Amino acid sequence: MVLWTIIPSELIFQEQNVAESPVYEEIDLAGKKVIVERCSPNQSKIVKLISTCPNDYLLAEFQPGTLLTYKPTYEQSIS
Amino acid sequence: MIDNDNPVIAPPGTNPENPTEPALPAEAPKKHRSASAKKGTAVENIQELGSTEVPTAKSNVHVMTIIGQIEGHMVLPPQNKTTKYEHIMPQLLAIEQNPEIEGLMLLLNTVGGDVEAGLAIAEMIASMSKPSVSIILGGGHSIGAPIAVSATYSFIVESASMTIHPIRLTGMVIGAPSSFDYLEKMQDRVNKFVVSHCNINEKKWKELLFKTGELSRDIGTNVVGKDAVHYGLINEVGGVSNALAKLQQLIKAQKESKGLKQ
Repeated sequence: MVLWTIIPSELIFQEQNVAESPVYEEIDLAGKKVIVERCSPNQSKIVKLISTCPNDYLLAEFQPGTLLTYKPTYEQSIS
Repeated sequence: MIDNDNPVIAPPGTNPENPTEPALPAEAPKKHRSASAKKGTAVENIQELGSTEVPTAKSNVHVMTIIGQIEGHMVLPPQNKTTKYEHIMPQLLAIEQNPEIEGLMLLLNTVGGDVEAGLAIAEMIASMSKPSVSIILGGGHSIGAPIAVSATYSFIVESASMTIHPIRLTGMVIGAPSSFDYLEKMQDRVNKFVVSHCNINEKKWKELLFKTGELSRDIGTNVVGKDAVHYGLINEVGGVSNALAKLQQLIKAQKESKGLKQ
């Protein structure tokens, strides 16, 4: 890998506290790809929408900063 | 009718199996179909059913943002904002293949990054049959330059800049004498691509690359707005409206030329 950039390599590869660095995940949200940041075990915040369609960026529910809450789902009904 | 305030027993006229659903259709839905009926139901769909089928006009132009670092085979630490090739390349193919999409707009504000990932993206854009327009906002540095010139037509806003400098040993290259040849070969690949996709000649490009006294930490040149057009790197100075108008014009021109062929 050869990096050709104006940012010095010591800035790109600077050591970070692992506990403090954000955890990013790429998830599928209603058919669109979004990058989310884990806030808590059941909540994520939208960081970035990955789409080439300009109209997607106008959708309110995909705006960066929107909080997503994960809820457990059950595949089998408990009898 | 008896007023039932016992929460356990369902009031008369409701379905005890599904207490939220009234047995008789209420008057409410009729009210919703007045005035701004279509928009109202779309929002309701999102709120109630979680569906996102918003009836918006389809755009014939798709947009791609090339921001931060161009990320290659190694995932960069999370403090870096990156553009990943595994996102960009399939999207480019989808844009090329989808008959409803007629043009591509590239928004660039990049500090550079992985040479091979950048060249891969640039080659894909350059080899597309659909017209593309790039616009540099803020900066299009290092590997951002080949990506900017890969579009059919390129714009730069007046305040944006491009840093043209030689490929450096910031990556994992073994410090043997042959590594110099390796770097030179890599630089040659970039040079050839840039020279063949814009109006700059190789002599001028190399002059910009190896100029001394312009950058504090490196050799090379910082080219701002109008200068980029003057050197022939970029086609025109202009903003978003100019870029969109140019793209629509290119789309129209391509449609007409296709019409003639058939």
